Amino acid sequence: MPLLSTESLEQVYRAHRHGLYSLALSVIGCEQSAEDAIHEAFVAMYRRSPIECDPVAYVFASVRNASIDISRRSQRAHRANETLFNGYVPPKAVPGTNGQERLLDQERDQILRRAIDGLPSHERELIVMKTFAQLTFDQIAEVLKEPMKTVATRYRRALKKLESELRGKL
Amino acid sequence: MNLPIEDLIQQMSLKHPSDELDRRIAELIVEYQIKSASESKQTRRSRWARLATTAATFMALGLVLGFLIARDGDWRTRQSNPRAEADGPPVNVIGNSQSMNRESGSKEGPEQAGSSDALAEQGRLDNEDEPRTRIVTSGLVRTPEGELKRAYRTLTAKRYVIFDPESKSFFDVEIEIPRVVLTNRPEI
Repeated sequence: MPLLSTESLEQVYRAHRHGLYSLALSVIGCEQSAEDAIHEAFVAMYRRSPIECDPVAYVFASVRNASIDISRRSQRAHRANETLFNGYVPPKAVPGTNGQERLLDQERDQILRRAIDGLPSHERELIVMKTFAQLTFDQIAEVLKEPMKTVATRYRRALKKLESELRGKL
Repeated sequence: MNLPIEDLIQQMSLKHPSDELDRRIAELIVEYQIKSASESKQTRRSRWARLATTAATFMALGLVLGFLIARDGDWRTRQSNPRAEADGPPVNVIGNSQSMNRESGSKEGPEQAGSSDALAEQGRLDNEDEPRTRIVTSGLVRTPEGELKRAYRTLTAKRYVIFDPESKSFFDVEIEIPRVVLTNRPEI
């Protein structure tokens, strides 16, 4: 295990800022609070003495913990439930695609977005970390402090749920 | 290998963190770098300070120990001073008590000088392990046979010896008040 240094913290932020933000947003459900959580997590990490760990997993775990703390602190009656996604951005015109196909894409994107936003928090976090942040199952297991097999099983279950959601609507 | 649903998810457009967050993190990094640089300087300085303090402590300890040892040595030297041993059991002395400290070299009379050397020689032969015999005082004593002999008291005042000029050797005497009894008389 490499020693986590300030340089590696900076590198992790640069490489995973989208993933970190999505994770914080999926936990808190509020854009501003998600940014606050990331900032708080980095302040705390810089204050801590260097430790031997996987830097990526460590940073993700810190951001997740900070997000949970902020979420609890705010004591909201209900989550803000802001979406993780931007509005639908149509892919660049691909030769051979017609307007109908583009509409289908848009429809599928909206369904999928709603399905992901509607997932339970722990499953949504898995989708964010695995699919968007490209973390390995080992790293996710370290972040969640759970066995790797449990994490993988839960992730596949979440994907199946999304798939069935998509099949039922399209 | 990605499942098709994974491919679809990856194509989705995520929300981006604002530039404000990037700025806050960048400020944090700079702040930390400045802080850690100054801390490392302080650490280096404090390391030297600690080294100097340790050295000073050991020096002080050395001085104290040295002083104690020196004092102890002085004390022993004073104890070995023959003048401090002047007091001893009363001896039936005829004549004046004379200082015979060989170290100080104050010897009186040729007989005493010869006696002192012979006593030293005898001491060496008698017991090599014992501390060297030092003669502190001497005086004339009367033996049971009625002879007058010169008796010498040693430094530790444990032994009194009489020198026999004929055999040029010493023999121990047990001194009693007011008489002197010869003991351990060697064969002449």
